[in-house]
Amino acid sequence: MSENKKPSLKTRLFEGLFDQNPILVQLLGTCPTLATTTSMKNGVGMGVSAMAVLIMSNLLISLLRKFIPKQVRIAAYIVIISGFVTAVELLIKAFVPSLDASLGLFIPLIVVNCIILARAEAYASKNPPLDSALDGLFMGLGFTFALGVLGAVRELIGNGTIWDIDVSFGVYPGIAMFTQPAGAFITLGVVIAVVNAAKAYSAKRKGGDK
Amino acid sequence: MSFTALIGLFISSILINNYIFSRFLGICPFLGLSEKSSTAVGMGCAVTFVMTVSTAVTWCIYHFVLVPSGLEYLKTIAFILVIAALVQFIEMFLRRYVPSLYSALGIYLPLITTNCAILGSALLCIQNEYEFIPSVVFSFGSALGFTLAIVLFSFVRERVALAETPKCFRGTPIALVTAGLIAMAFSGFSSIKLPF
Amino acid sequence: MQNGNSKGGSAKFIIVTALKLLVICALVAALVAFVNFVTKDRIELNEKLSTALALTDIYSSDDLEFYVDDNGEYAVRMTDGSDFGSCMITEIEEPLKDVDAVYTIKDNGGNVFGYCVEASPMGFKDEVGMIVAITPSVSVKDVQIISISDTKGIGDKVTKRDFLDKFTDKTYGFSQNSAELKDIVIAGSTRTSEPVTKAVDTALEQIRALVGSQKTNSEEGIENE
Repeated sequence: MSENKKPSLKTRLFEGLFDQNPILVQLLGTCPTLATTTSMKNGVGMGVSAMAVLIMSNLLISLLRKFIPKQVRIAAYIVIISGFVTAVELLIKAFVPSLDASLGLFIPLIVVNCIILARAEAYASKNPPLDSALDGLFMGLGFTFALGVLGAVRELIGNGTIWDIDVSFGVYPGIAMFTQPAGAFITLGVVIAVVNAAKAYSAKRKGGDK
Repeated sequence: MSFTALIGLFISSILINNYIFSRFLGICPFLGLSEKSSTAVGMGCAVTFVMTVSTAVTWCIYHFVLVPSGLEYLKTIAFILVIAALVQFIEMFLRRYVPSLYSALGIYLPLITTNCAILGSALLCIQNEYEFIPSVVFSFGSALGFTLAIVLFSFVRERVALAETPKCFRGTPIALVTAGLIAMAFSGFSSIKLPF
Repeated sequence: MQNGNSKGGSAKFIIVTALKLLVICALVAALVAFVNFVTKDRIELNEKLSTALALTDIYSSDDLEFYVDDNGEYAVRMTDGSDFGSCMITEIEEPLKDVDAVYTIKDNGGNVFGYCVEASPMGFKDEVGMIVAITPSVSVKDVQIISISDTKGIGDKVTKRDFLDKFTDKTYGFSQNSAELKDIVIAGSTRTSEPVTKAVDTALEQIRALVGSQKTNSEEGIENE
């Protein structure tokens, strides 16, 4: 991202979703990715929770970026992030208790999700508040998108359902392995390989056009 | 908790509820530092050390500071700060008094603060309402399980690196598929029935 | 976390840095305290509501409806809105392992209509929250799972009706009969279904003890008269 010329919102959205997707390309935050994508609903729930934290922490860190002493910035970021995570955790417990039941431990663990700290350090600490909040939104969307896709694939193969709706007309028994840890690793590996292949293909096409 | 129950907890935290293969905690260092077996061993030892100490400290803080003052909801913030400070402290302590251990583990210590396995372990002990001794046993066993997983994985990865994999699978994707296969093997442990 | 030592580390610098960090901490703590203040009652209510909902499910065939009244206490009425006895939390000294709470449901005449035991045995990874409804003659009326975070498709088999219905009419000690236990436990999901089965038996034991103690109390009462 060049400093002089600001990329348009559309390019930034695409960057968050595809080119710089936090999970599929940057490989950040793999723990919640693997653990919460047993179904599409859980994956999206996790993605939205992390996105909320990401937007708010980016905004606050950007607002305070001149106030936070450089030497203790990481500590300050961690305090701010964990504060928002706790707030989100309490809000989920109060208003979406079913999500709390299925995500459990992984809501407090958003604190140590590398995506949030990475965006705070790489973007929010150098850019104005509105831009930082937007960055949080786009990166969060990319995270949610990847979690949704992974969750949908695992739920479909593992259970024959998508978003809890049976799409196999009851004839497909489901391969339980895909909702288990082994399936999580393999699905993520294959999805990243597909993304790599798609990138290589489009790079080739571009090269051919020239 | 009886002694046999403690042994059961210890074994199940290493094999059955392995942090990597069944709870998905600490995947980032698992993927990032497993290309060479020597770094894997170093990271494993550092995690074992920090996790056991930090779980013991966070347990005390929760039960002797947060609960009496009714601030349980602040546990995530308190724990992450305690862990960050503790890692810093351990680093300084080792550098000053045990330089040989510091030179072996030093470079891994800063990475540990953001290792979700450490915070996860502290939170799990509170969530499962373990007493002090079971907490320490649980975190020590879990950390050993983490070490076992990362070391095993690094051996496999050293071999996989020599193989000719399809281009799009090279690097992380094939590593993830490999991890999936190991996880499948580990899921066999889940049907172990401990006699106690 | 780098300290300011590299920059000379003058006392003033350290104090300013520490103060700034303190301000940030205070800011965040204030935010969290505010959110906690807003959500605290709601979270408590949610927990009670989910229990009340499970109780309503259990007793739906008796046309009972459980709810949380304005004081935040459990209460019960008929589905058509008419009055029905009470639902009280029964205090138990030294409850058995995994037993969280015991509810006693009484009809208008004050007779015991049923008992419910809330239990949380350790499943495959985490605790399974469940309610066991027990008749006054200490046999199982129904079992409901209220919370489970185990693997979808594996552990959650215990939430299926065909598993839970196997407990109906069981009496204390059924899980010690290995043939009966084998018949109930789900193959392939042993590590969740077995603790659940054991917990049902524990619940029966708890109520048996409770009924026993009440009986002796009332008999003593009669003798005293």
